[in-house]
Amino acid sequence: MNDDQLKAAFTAELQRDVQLTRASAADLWNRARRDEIVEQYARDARSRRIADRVFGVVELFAADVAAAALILPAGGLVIAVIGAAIIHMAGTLALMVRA
Amino acid sequence: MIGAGDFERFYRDTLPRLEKFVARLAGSRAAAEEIVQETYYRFLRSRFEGGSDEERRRYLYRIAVNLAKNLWSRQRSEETIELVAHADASNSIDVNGVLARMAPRERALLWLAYAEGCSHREIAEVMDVSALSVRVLLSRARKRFVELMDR
Repeated sequence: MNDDQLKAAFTAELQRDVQLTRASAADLWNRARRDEIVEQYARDARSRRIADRVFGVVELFAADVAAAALILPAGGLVIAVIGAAIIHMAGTLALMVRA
Repeated sequence: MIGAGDFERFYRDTLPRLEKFVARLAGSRAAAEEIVQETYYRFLRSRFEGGSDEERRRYLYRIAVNLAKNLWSRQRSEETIELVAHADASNSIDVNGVLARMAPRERALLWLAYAEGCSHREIAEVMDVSALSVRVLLSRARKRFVELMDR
């Protein structure tokens, strides 16, 4: 059997209808659009949550530094700032992972 | 995402042939229906920016093949195609009967080459294999088709 005969056989086969239950184009499009909107909303909400948390941690960090500056001598201040930075960095990362 | 009007036209133009293709890949009517609907859904969600209808069509077929591959990995490859149980009198060769006895990948290759008239490059794109492999795989599939037909 050569290529032309195969092509002819498959072309004849292509004429046969298969009867599958069809969804309407509008239903499929609406479903995809709805899911896209829902996912976009979820992504935006997640970004907002992360931004809020990062901002909260930065605020806390600034408050820590200010309090340390008021009560500690210079050497203690440096240690307090480094300690606070490490703790808050770890906290921020943990919060971002959870968000 | 493609506009609703554009999608409706694309859907109308591509659905009949995609159904015929997927029907030969899937093991059952239910699976074929699911794959066809999921193919269009994924196409819509993919944000595919291909310019021409032809590029869109090839991308659509690629999604369908990938979905069918997932199905094949869950089922035995020699499952018969429920849709094609009877031979068609208008075709001297029982193409579907022979296809039903072939491996799913071979069915897909033969259908794309001989029913859809795709080039080796297009088949490679749809099946996600190299064009060189298509030549070899298609030749094997053709040989197998002829063997099964002669039995």
